[in-house]
Amino acid sequence: MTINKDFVFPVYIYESVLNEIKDLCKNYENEIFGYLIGLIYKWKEEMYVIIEDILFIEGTFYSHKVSFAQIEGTAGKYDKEFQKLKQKKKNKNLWIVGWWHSHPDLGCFLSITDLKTQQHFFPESYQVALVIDPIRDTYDFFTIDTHSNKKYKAINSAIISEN
Amino acid sequence: MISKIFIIGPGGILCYTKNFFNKMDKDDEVISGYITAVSDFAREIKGGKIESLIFKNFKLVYSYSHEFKCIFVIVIDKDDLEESARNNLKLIKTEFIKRYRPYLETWTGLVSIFNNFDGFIEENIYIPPNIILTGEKGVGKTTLMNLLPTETIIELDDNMNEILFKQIKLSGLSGIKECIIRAINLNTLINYSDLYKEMLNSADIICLITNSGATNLARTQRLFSLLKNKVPKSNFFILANFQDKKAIAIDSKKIEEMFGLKTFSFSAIQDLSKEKIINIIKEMLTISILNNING
Repeated sequence: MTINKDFVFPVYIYESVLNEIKDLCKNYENEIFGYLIGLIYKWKEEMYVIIEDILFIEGTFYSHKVSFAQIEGTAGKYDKEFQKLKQKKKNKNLWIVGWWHSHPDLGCFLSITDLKTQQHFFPESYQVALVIDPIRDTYDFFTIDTHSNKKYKAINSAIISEN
Repeated sequence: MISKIFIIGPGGILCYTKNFFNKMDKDDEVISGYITAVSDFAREIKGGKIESLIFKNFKLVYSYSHEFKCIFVIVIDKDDLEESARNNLKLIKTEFIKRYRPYLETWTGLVSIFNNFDGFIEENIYIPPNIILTGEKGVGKTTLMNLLPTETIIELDDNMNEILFKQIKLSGLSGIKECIIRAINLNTLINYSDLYKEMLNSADIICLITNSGATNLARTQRLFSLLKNKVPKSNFFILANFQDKKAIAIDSKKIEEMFGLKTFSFSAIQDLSKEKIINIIKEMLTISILNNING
């Protein structure tokens, strides 16, 4: 893999944000989910996102399987929380850049339900799905890819560690 | 292992770049602009500085000169120790600023003056790949070392365990002109792994040598399972020695299946054995380093 190819449309996530999601996932036996909040940048015609925060509403949602209907049921609550976060951070440029959810000991992939969720709730080209397996300590970012058989593909990402 | 170095001046202008394993990349200027852009955006978001960017296979380690608005970046393998990269960055930054201070103070964007920094980098930063040859007693480690050119140096550790050492020149590999080879007993390496931690951490390749006999293979397999947990990043290979002893040697293809590792068939008494061992070393380096970096 060349370095150049890895710079194509990557997703950047702060190490502290990734660790926050990992810690949440470790604390729940079942699948949980939340939103990814960040900024969208364009540089030399390439668009990329920097994930700088997450939303997770405790109690409103967690079950054995993240299902389409359950996400739909909490969407309103998440939207409200997102607006609050924007106000709190005084940053109008924040976007919902995707969602994250856990696959305890299942590995990282998008199930048919996950794919439907992505297509319906996070259809924009900059919106990504982060899947975390807290047991196997792995994670991957995915996006829709209508050209592939699976209809999704893993995308390159980088962790930003800062002082 | 360091694969690239970038020194980026004010405005994201690439002052100096070094590719250790391939030729100057025409996209390096694009990458340097990108590195600067990401750094700027990250600073806008959280106000801090990027310390490193961790990708799937490699890591970019950053250092900054606020005085001259320069960014120094080293690209290393993802599992390489960041501390070592930071020490190198410090060395590069100090020397670069010392040499070019007048130019940086009156920065005009002219970058050709930095070309002669190459000598310093090649002399002080380039670290040849490290290979460990290891196996039980009697599998042919010393013979293999003797087949390689140059004098063998014997290193003794605190417990008087012997390590054979050679630094050999290589030709025909892009960016790798030499490598360091150490031969050590496998049981010693595992039993004193704390003592050899630095050696294991810096190893790019570990080649397990077997005499291809069933008993030795079984023991080596067990020892390999212990060793691989103690090594953060090495690429493992098998060298199936004594393949000339058809009556007792298990075929190298079967050994490859047993270990699930690329296995090289070898016999020290075969014709051109000296050339063959060099070619095996080159192939191991190509698989584990060059292919990994160049895609």
